Amino acid sequence: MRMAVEGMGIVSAVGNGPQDLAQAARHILREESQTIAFSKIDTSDLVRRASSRALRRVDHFTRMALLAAYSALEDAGLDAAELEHTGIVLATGYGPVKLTFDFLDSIIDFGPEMASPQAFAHSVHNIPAATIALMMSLRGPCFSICQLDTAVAAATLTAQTWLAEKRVTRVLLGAVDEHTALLETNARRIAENLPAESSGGRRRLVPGEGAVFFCLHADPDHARHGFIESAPLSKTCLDAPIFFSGSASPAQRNTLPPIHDFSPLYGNMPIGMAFDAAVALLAVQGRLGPVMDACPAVHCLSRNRFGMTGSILVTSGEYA
Amino acid sequence: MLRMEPVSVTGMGCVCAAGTNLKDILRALEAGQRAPLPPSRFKSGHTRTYPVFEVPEHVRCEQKNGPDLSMTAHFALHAVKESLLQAGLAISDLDTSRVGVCIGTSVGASLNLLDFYRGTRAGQTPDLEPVHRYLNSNPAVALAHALGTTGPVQTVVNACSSGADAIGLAASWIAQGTCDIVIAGGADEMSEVTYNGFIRLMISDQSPCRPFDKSRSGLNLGEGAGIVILEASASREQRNAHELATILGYGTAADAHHLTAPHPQGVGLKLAISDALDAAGLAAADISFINAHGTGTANNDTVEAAVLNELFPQTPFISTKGMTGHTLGAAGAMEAIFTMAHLAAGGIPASAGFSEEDPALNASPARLHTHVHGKAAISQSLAFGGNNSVLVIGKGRAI
Repeated sequence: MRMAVEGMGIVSAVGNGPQDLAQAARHILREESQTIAFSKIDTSDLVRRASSRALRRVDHFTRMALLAAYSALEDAGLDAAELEHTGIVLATGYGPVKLTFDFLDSIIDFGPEMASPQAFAHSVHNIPAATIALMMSLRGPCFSICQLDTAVAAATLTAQTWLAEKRVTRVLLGAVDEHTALLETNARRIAENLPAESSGGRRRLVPGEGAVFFCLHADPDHARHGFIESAPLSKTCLDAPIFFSGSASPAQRNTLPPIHDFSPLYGNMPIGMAFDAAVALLAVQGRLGPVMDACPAVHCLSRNRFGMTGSILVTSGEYA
Repeated sequence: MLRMEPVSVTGMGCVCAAGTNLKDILRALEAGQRAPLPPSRFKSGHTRTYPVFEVPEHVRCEQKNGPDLSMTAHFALHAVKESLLQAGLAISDLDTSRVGVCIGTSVGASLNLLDFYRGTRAGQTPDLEPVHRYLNSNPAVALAHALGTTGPVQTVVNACSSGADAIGLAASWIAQGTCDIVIAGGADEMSEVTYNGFIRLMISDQSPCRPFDKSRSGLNLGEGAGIVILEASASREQRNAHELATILGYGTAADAHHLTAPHPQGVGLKLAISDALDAAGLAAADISFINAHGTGTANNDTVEAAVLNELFPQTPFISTKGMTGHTLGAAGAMEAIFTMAHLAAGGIPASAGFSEEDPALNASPARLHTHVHGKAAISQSLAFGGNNSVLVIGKGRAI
């Protein structure tokens, strides 16, 4: 089942919006881009969408998700009143790590009897999605999915499943992860301990952060940007470009047909596939020109450390 | 919401403080003898004692002899083995893209590496072993890797409704033809971090918990796993496998009210019940009993009682958390399995910990073993973040 993409919201190190993402993707396609240095993402635009009071206890991870979700709705031309029967699926690799570590800090600094209940409560991994539901008054299904490198593919299948059984008429499908110094240190230590032939590529990248949201509808007439679906790499699309993210080494990646690796624009992220899907939607709309011609279909693949591969297909309205 | 075709359950496996397999656990639930104890794997750090329900030590020792995975993943593997055995499936039967894995968890996906974090903060360079174990132990991914499945893999982290949600989603994968078999359920281990977190939220009881009781004062944490084998009719019939129960419907809805407290009128819970019954093509009167979430906290039990009084005023209900503790991401799956077993047996045990009705609730769970009649029952789960998830369970059908 193809899901119509009504809107998309991008919150990234290269800018917050599809234009910035397209510009950065063109640089990579021209092989002009250097790997990004980590910079904390600006979510100050959120104050245009929600009151300071509502946001006062909202952490950075959730702010990125909220900003991307609001941006996707605005891009779709929707407001909260039109969101009846809307579900939320949020994919993440690590969850709200900073709050997890804040709670550990409070145990270490103040002892178990004075540890922070708020940091604990907000570190529960479904709280960011619940915050979106609460702030948008959405009472549909609300799922959070946490796994490295294949969370976005799993979330896409969930959205598709809900729309197919008419559990909802619309899904806000998102992905988010955040940078912390400890994640960066650990990623570097792990990469240093890997054999040389598998320590290159993505594993040299600094862990990044950011969020992507898609507003999806079952009705093809809602496809402002194209379509997205959960789909294995099938023979019918062997000529389609492949955007690849995930834990595979360069040697593993070379076993596939020619691919594009956009990870320098988002960094080492377990939800990198969401950014690939956003770039793919730009590609099928011809918005990566003149560097890349419009193509009817793009496969996005992400492989985890066990070799399991998540796969989604992004297509234009013309693709059948 | 479309009407759902019943999805067969052909295997069940369970491990928790009450027993290391489903048969023993059901016997313990009937006996009602429980003995939660202070946590054994970490120092409490609190002047007061908060008892927990831990899995027996010999099961925990399986971690030392098996692959280097988290305790959560080991509990899941333990329950998977029981469920596959009951389903008559060998691991070699699972090496196909038509087999999926969908597991709910809470602790099992969190970077709660307290000792590692403490060492880092102290300026040390602690061994990366716990980090590698975390990276290898995402429950659904670890199971899929261990079993060699190549179909959809998903770890649901919807807090305390995770296990129910994993089964509900997995049933949809079967119903829509995405998979022939799905290994679904939930798993979670006891953690020093969550232990401290629930105490600091002031919702942990210093005594064995008393769901729905007038004197209830919070939950006891537990740990364990519950796994079901869901199977498409064609696959089950081809294997001539026995249908133990069916998933008839599933509903899930958000309160959109508060991040850590349920909606006082149970708005999301009522929506979830309505969706689940619609999917099953049943009415409230068709439900023979309900396995309530029943944590023993003031808020949860008040909201659940209000909804039960409104929608199911004559329907018997129980909470099994008085025997298992609150197993977080595993709870919804374990309780769905108990519901399947009790429906098949035609009776529910007394609700452990309940002795005196709370006049403010005007709802009492089963005080004694209660015979139940009918072909369907409900298992419901509420969660942090305002998640509410409901499974409608049916009896197994004769081949």
